[in-house]
Amino acid sequence: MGKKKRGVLIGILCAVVVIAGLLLLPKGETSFRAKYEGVDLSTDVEGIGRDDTYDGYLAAHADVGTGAEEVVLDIVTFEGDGEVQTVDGAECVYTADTNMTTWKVTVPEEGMYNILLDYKTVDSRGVDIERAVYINGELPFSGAATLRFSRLWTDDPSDFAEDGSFRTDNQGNQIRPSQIERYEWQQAYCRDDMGYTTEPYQFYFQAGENTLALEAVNEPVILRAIKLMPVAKQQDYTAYLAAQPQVEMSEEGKTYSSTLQGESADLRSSPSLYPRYDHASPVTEPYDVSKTVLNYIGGDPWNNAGQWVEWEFEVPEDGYYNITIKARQAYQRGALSCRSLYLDGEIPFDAMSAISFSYDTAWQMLTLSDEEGVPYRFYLTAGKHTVRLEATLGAMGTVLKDMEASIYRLNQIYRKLLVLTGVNPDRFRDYNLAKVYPEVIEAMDLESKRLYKLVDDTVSLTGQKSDRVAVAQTLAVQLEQFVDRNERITQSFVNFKDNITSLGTAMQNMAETKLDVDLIIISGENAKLPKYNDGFFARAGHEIRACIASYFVDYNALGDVYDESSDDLIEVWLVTGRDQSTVLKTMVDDSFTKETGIKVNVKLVAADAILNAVMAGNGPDVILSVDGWFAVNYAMRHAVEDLTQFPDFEEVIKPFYQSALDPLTYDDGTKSGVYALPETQIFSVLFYREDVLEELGLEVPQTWEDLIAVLPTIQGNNMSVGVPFPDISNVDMSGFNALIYQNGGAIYSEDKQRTVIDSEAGVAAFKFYTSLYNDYGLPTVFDFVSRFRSGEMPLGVGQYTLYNTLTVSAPEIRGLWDFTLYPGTLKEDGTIDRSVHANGACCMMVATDDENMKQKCWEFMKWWVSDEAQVRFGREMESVLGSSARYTTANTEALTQLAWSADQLAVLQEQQKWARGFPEIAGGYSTTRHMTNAIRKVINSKEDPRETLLTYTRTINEEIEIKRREFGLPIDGEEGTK
Amino acid sequence: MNQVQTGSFAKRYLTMRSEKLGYGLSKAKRMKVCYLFLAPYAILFFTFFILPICTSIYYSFTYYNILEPARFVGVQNYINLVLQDEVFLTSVKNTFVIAVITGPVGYILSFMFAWFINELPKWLRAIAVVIFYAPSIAGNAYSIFSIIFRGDAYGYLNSILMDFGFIDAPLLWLVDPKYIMPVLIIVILWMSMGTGFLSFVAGFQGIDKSMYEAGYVDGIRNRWQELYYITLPSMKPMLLFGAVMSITNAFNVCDVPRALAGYPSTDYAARTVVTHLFDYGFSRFEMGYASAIATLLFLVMILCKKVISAALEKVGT
Repeated sequence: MGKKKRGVLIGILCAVVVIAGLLLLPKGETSFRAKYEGVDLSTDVEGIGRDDTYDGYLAAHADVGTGAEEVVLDIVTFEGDGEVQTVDGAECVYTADTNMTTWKVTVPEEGMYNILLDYKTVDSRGVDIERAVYINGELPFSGAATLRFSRLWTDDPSDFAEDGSFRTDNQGNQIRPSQIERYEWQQAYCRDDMGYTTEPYQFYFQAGENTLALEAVNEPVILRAIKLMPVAKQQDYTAYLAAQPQVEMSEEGKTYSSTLQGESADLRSSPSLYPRYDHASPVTEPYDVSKTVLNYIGGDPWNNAGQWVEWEFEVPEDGYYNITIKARQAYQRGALSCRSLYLDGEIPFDAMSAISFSYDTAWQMLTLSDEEGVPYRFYLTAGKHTVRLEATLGAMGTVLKDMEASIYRLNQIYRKLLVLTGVNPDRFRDYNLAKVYPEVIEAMDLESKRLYKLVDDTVSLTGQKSDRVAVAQTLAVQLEQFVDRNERITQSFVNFKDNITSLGTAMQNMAETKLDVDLIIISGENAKLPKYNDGFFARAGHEIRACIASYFVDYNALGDVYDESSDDLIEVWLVTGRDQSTVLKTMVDDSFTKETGIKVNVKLVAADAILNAVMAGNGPDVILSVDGWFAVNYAMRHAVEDLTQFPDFEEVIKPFYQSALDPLTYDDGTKSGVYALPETQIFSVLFYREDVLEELGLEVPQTWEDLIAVLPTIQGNNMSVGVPFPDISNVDMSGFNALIYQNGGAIYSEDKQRTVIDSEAGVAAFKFYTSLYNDYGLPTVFDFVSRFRSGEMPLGVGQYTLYNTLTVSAPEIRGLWDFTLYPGTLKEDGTIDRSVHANGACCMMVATDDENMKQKCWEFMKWWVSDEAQVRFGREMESVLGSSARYTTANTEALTQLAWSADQLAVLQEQQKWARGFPEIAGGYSTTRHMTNAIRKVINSKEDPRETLLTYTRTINEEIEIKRREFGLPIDGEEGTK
Repeated sequence: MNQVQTGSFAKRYLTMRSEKLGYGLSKAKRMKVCYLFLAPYAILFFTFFILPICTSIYYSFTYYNILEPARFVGVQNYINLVLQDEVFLTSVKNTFVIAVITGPVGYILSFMFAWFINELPKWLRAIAVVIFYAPSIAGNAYSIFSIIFRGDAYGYLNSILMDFGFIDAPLLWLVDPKYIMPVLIIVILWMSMGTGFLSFVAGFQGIDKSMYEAGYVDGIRNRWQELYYITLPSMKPMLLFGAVMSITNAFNVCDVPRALAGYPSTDYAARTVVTHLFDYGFSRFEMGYASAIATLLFLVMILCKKVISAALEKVGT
């Protein structure tokens, strides 16, 4: 039995190794206090750190007390742009979305003031109002440039049935009401839009005359009053109680209880905070196992500090009431989601400025109470009141603010070192960093201590060390090592950069403060609260019933589902996603079908299912949101309808540029037409880091020549520029295509029978493009977003949707970057040709002989690409998925009404004029394919560009010819067709 | 002369066949119940195996662009495929390179690992099997290699090579045709511990201990002899199964090159027969041509299987 013994031996050995490993692991230290105690963390090392932060501003005015009294500006006397209007009986100022308006204000005593705006929104693009505040002609701190003022949103009353419940479709599922704006006067302080500073911003005003200017960043607004308010401190609970009158409540009042359903909130600050439905828990109120029942509010979109939801309620008599919130924070383990509670627009006492909800997958009933569990008593007079829950970061805000500043400084440190060492330092070389950059080493030392403190702060707040803050600790340790042993810097430089990026991501996760609210109960002190049993059996029962229901309910059909055989029915398929299809269906049901009487079934399918379905004759009538190349490929095979057959075609395509239609146009010499309507159009713009370019003393390049001119400086500092390269994961030809157009070339000949990229213009473009990589050494493979964040790639061209990604994912460089027109080519007449490649999705009509059907489909397609439908779809998508999903409509009219600010819109509109679509022809797949091959060949084996391009052009033309023969199309120099 | 002979042979063959057919039918009538029991499998096999194969063979003689009805073109597809299509030849070359290297090597490796693992104690064996089999279970495990072979300085391989000073700028492993094939072969080898490996592990378990004891009595001198004369012959079914699996896998390589080297790959450097088929079927909508490729591939696979079973017959003799 030697084998058995051996087995036991191996087992013991393994166990010993594991145990030894566990024992040898360092024990988690509980606090790093010793590391940073007695060190002044508030000062910066010269040249590293931002000097325009709010903290810096406060520190500079630390010895100034708060203002003594309220100061009201004379709103109608101002300089600059603006228009005096009389609204609701008061004289107001209307400021448009590009205005700069300056007021004079006399302050009796110097001091710190909060600025309160009394405003009313007007119908416009439906996004938050953004303003920058200048005091005495200067931007006091960077945060003052991004002040946001929300609009008021409410459920569209027409989306409710007569009995006041939500409207349902013919399957019995409730339909989410659309959000419409309510125009009312609101008062709001100027405060941090990220919510890191939870208190309103304080501004310093000197005694005597000051000027206060508001610069419009986005959206117009009507201002009724601007007030400078002395900075007030919140009262505590005892003070609050003491200030309330003593009343004796009746027995009825004491047992009174009223339930406010989360989904029936009256007002909200953002259209994304719409009623939602929850299928996951059996105790969400109301509940249905298979049908869609709107039953809570909040969820993923209730994520950013400052977003609020408000309910109206009534109490029968004066007296003291308790408030209970049934909420669920199933989003972040080990983190708290905080809410401020406002009663009638005021936070009653300090404890209500941050109510925290800890992680739990089940609903929790939280009765607002003090630390001993004694419920807080809120004084309410008989009649109507409002209760508002506003997302806030609470104490976490300070930590996040520090973290943001740390990331900024770490990136600066990284960039400083980068100048000397490059992305991949030579590990065998001694860079002598301590001598070259003593200040950087000093900054690292300081940053390490700050990070240790940050970890301690987070742990003391959340009560546990979550994985999110772990990366801060890793960085702190790493920096400490760097300071101790400088040679380590070069060894783990890449890792250092990765850690900074992860810290950025961690910060973003920590700033999330999602919460679901099912209901709020306002009750007298003796009222019995309902209990929600969400135990094992209740859940199991729910799951089993849901499982059974899934066999009987078709979750793929959306909205009103009509019988296949009914007249006036068209079947629409789309391939994008569930959210898109739900929104589309709602829009169809409440506007298209209502107006035209044409019934529409919407189905969400996978893109590869379309081909099979069309082939089997079971396909849809209209296909939405497919790639542009589908249209022509189907057209060649007679599977889709030519849309020019409709008399009002010219009218319908008016809002589109020719560039959006080009890829959808097919002309083979025997037939020609436009086979789809454009939905989206995406093109590239130039992104740049203002701060880095300023550091380097560079201007934003306008042309490729300018770009080449700034390259030596950028590369001399070991940074680089991003130009898209046809990589494996993303075959992006936009860089090369744009150059062909800018050189005056084209992809195909006039008759679209062969490619002409071998023309002089094409060759010049190709030579230049390949030289960018071969001679100028631009990187071919890179992750633009992360390099842009770190500043390692301060310039880069990319699709304009990157703007949204960067806004959402890189808060630490907010306000330090922007985008502008694509680099162009200088023409002989002195103008700059900024042509750029554009692509997008389209919708098409499946070929049919039924004239009646054609008309119905055409009606639908016209409706879908119209301004109203596109704007509404774009806005709803943004409210469902957030601003990172901003819709890229091809409709030029609709684009102006999406959430872009005036400046951004101007850039986009100008760039869209220059957009060029990539034409599709029979055999067109080979063009991109071999253009890619040609580029890669020159870059891989440094072959002669001209020869390579000519060879591949020949291959492309051969393939096109083969395809043309396949379809029996005329070929140059040959007589007739088959 | 010759013709007459063939003619008469064919005639004789047909008469014989038809006689046999008649006999078979009458026998089938008597054995109705047996055929009833056979039916479920027969129907499934027919619908999901025979029918698609036949359809594919039919379409290979047509021009069929999916959206329009098929048009009969005779053997034109095959002529184009063999005589005109240069890319097809590249793909055949690549497929054979991959098959010849990864097929046998993967097969032998699977067997060796199964053999080694068989020596381990039982609980450790279970763990080892999971570890070796894991890449095949986790379907897209190969995507990890796209990080290792990433083309920028952050790719692991580039980073390591640059650290040690072998290269001074990152290499485009998956873009440059020079490197694509070796990279692919490594990845495919790593993936090859598949079902074959599992069946070997099972095969080793199934061998009767008394066979070895008898072998020792009969004068087996070392482990190699034990392996060759006892273990292998007792495992013939598993060996055949493993071999068939490894051929099919080697000829079916498609996902890995598509995921790693892109689709289409630079200069078709990573094109295999199946990616070629995919290209024609779904990018160019030439289903007829794609069916011709499929048919050829099918024939080659059958041929290879015959050769391998013949070779395996000789094991242990």
